[in-house]
Amino acid sequence: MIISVIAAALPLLFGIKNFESALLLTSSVILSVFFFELVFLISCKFRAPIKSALSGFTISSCVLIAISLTGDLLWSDVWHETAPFFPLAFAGAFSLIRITAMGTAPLVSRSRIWAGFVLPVLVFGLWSEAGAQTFPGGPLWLSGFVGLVLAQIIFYNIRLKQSIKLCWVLGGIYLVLFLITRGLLGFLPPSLAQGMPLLVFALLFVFDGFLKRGPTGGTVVYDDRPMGGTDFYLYSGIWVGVIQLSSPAEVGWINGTLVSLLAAFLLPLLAAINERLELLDIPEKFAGLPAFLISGGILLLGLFGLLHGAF
Amino acid sequence: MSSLTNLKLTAANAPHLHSGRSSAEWLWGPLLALFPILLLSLMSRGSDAFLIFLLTAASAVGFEVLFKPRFKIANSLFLSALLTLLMPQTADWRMALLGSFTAIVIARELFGGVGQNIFHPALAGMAVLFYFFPQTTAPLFLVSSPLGIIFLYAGGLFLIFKKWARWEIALFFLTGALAGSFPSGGNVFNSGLLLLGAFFIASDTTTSPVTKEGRIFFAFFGGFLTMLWSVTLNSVESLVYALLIMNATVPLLDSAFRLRRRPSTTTAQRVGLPINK
Repeated sequence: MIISVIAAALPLLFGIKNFESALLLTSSVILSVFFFELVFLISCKFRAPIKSALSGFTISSCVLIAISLTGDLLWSDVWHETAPFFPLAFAGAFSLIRITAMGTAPLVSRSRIWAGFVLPVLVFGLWSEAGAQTFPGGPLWLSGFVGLVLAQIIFYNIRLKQSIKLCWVLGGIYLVLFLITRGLLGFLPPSLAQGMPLLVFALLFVFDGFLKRGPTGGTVVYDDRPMGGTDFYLYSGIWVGVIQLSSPAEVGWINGTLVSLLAAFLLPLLAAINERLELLDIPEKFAGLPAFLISGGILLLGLFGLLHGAF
Repeated sequence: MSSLTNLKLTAANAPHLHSGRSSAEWLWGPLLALFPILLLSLMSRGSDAFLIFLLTAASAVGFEVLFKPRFKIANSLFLSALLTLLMPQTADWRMALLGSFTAIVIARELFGGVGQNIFHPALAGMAVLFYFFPQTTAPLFLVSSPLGIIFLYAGGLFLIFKKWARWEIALFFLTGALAGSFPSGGNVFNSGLLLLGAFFIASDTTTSPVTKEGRIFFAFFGGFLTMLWSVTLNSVESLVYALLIMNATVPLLDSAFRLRRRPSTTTAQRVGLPINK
């Protein structure tokens, strides 16, 4: 709790350069701390091991502090560029707590959690940057989406059958998220509305805990049951929120809806390619991840080319 | 044990009939069909076109030799011809080398060689060229004169007649292009580029779906997107991007329209198998 309070206060201390930004960030952090506590209480209700819950809580607090400090370094002039990454950090922290507190260790290994959280960030960053460099002025969100879906398929080991089932649910969630956040932009300042996806998904996350516990056992991270993919939705939803809201003025209703559906459709598309690649007799050095990334890159070239002309 | 578990076997009912065709026939056939339009284009465009084709073909074969000790050059020559025809007349040696490297090494050999690539190598090569050389709006090496159109139709029909290309892909590609041309009013049936796409690129057996329903979907939307986006992009760009995206959907289409065929009655009766009705 003390660590959380310090984490909440840090941005305010360092944020005197820009009071409005500091206020917004602090309110976001306090909000997240509130949810941390709520999640902690829920995990206790489900008789999760207190020790593991506490360790999860500490880890997520440390993540929060690190992110806050990093954000502060980049803060003064580029608030709109750094702010969207804060909900992402919170989302990762939430998931860490949930997974640790609910004792789902057989389901997901610790290293896998970190891989699922940290590596998609890197993939997203690299692909976004590559996209920006490749097509200046092109739709930046596209490379982010392709990177996100590649990372999801790689790190969550999503199969085509699962992805087809997930696609509809995911498309619906993306759409709802987009409509909520886009609606909020009508009467809230954009920088404040950026925090709303966090709220929506934190609520989903909490209520999911009430409805059904995550599956236990098994070697596959997320099986066919949609309820087993809470963290998957959490990451994905926050990602979409981050990407869409990073430039809210440029995303209209129709474009946003199309983007939401396209992002969901990319999942089965790339999952099918991944499964096809497994059947091919690819040279050993390029089998697996390299061939998949090359395929993603070629697809991105095609999508970029078409959408660059369309937008 | 691990090697056993990694084995990928395909189970199928005997007897296994041979089509009577060799792989060499499959590889040289499309090149033969493309040869008249290639020759016409090279003769019409002058010595520069010859040089670009020679450089593209030589580098493509060279990359294949470097990559694979046991090589078959027919497919590399076919891809070089396609690349040359799709390149603008302002193309230089850098474009020839980069295009053939991307097509042969990245889009084909890294995926396991001929018959295993997900994306059409010539399209991938052109997409990379568009990225590195974005201002390529000059006329193509491909000739769209009446004689060129006749050669394209003749080559395409020859491929279909010999069953080296699927008729439904060519037909539905052009139908899709016609549907997509309504907003812009573009010409479909005597466009050399669209005919090249319909008969020689979209109908590639490796990068098109296995099932007929899948092929129809693939070809129709390939043609439709090509024409739809030709309003904002130049025509060769829209063809390349649209077909690349449709290539990416092929595994999904194959999964969506699964093969439901059973052994034919005559085959089953011949070998004395019980017939499931």
